Amino acid sequence: MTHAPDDRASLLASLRGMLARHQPAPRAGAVGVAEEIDPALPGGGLSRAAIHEVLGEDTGSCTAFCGHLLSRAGGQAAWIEPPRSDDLPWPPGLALFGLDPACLLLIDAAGEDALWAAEQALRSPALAAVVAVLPRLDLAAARRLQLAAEAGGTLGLLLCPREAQRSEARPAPTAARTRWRVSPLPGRDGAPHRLGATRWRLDLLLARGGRPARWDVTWDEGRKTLIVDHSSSQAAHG
Amino acid sequence: MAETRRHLVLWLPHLAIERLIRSDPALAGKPLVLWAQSGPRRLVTAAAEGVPVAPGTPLADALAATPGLLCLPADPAADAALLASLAAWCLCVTPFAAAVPPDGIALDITGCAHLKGGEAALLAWLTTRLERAGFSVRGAIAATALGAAALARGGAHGAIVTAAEQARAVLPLPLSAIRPGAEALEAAARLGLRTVGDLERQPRGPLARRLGREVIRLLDEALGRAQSPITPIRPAPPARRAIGCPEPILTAEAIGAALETLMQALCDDLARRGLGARRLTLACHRTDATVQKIGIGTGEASRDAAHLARLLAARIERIDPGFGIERLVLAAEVTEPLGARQGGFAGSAAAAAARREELGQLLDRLRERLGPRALWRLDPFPSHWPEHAVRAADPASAPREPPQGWGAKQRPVRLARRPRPIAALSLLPEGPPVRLGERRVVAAEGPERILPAWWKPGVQPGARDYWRIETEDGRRLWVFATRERGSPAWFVHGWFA
Repeated sequence: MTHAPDDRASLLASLRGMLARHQPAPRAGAVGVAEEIDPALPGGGLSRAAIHEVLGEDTGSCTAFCGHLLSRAGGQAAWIEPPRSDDLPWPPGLALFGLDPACLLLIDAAGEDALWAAEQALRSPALAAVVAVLPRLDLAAARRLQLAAEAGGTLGLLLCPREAQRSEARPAPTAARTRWRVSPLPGRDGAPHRLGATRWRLDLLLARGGRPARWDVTWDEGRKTLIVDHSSSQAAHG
Repeated sequence: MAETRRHLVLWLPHLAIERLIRSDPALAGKPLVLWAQSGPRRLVTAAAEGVPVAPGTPLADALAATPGLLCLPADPAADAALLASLAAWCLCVTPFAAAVPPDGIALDITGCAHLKGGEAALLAWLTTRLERAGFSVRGAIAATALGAAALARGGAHGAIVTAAEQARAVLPLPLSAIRPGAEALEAAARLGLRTVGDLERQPRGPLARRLGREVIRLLDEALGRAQSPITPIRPAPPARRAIGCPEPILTAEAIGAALETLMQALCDDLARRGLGARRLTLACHRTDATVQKIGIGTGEASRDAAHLARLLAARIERIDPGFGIERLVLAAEVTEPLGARQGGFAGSAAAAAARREELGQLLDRLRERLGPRALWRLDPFPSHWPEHAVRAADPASAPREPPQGWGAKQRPVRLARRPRPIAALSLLPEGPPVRLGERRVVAAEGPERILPAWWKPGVQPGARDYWRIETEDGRRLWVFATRERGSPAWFVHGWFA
């Protein structure tokens, strides 16, 4: 490239233009996580037509986080889980996170079938978002899902509840656009007979075109949104 | 409209015997006799060709007169099943085929004969095929089914008569050709009436009194004066396309290619008529006069050729081509009105309809591979008992409105399919747990007592005291205690966010 150093801005612009030409137009940009988190994410939220990983050891907070994102994505959503799992997503609780039970399609599939079902669901323009509970994927399989999501313009969430610790020790390469870790935080009230509002620590472990970050958030029941606790998150972010 | 229709009747005089020979070729050429129990006696129902025993003879008499007979019990149900399957095979030449028990097949071939190059060629083709499959066949074509049947049974094998010639052809036939029933036949014999023509020459009033009105109806139909439609083994499907193979095909690829052609033609038909298919079957007519069938159903009416072909293609492997498939018939068995689709702006009704169609196709594809029970939705249900607050529903069904107050209480986002017992410690008999398994409980909200549906009959579980608790590592669980046997037993039932 024969650009002068001060021509950096135009170089970036031309590169962005080249990239944009090759990328399929996303259906409606991005799905917002929370008002205060979105500006830190590339594309201003979780981009549709892409897959995102959600890790976490606590099945409840991971499920609720995904449920919240599904409701934000709007439209029909699918949730792929292995059959005969011990517990299942429960609409009465997910309704508190804004997810309409009529919009949630549950699919029982495991192993190869689950991968296939996830690909079919992501490829279909009928669905706005897909959650797939999958074991850790190899790069080729993840790439396949990413291509399917691009074809269908669907938000894909890969939920790997038991993978949190392993991936922290040795982060695996991934085709996903972002990787999140959701961990529960103790309630703020401190009273032994009251639980208080739901609080999580959201770790953005990996973001393509963005920086890793950490937020401590509180669920606002009335507004159905996540509020960032500034005191703790700034400190944690450092 | 008697003169406009054409009927072909095949008569299989030795069906019962030939069924046994087909299943056991060693029986061919043996002096075979079939018998059935009739009250205290065993009567012969059928005898192999060349055995001088008339049906209806007591078995003991037959054995006395002709020693060395091979006697086997008759199986009318198996004969009827074979006849029905042969009639189904005949669907490869016409959509209207009927089994005429006990030993006939009637086909309405109006407008179908050109497929094989004329009526004579069609009749010859069918008889050759059935003879090759091991059946003796007599066939005839006439304007009415009964006329054709009379010709076939009366010894005029291969007769093809027009409506005008029919009466003349049927009149010289023996009276038994129209099967008036044993009693009527006997009465007619006493009167000296031996042929159809004898009957025709009698005055109708006294004839009806002596032999019954049924005989008059048979006579009119045999002579082509009246027409009653045949009862096809299945109603003609609303839309149907068939393809004949110049050479019998054997491979899945060839079937797949034929299927694509057929599907495109069928979907064009459906589009012209504003229909969509809910159920499709592909019938493969094999060279040995049997039919192999595969079928699919769709959640929503569709006429998307690529989608439907993909669903059916997954089942092609189940077809056993045998010695080859010579004809494929694709039929839309169940159809529904489906309006023309029109593109529209995002958010418009047209776009919503397109998305619904896409969703229906996705559900069909998933269901095809994962099974019908793998896809479901949890619909809200007005019950306070946690296990009953939602019900599994078919995702294609209309969603249920949440009942009043549903989803207002703090409920977990995941629920255990069955509550998990856990070791817990509480300081007070009715109090919250302070330790749960390995973990210390830092906060507990409750209790919320939930009673089972005590007004319903049957044994109900005990009352549950639910607590929302937070453990020291920040997890929030939904646990409950039951006190059925005095001391509380603790269970984990759900996970909060």
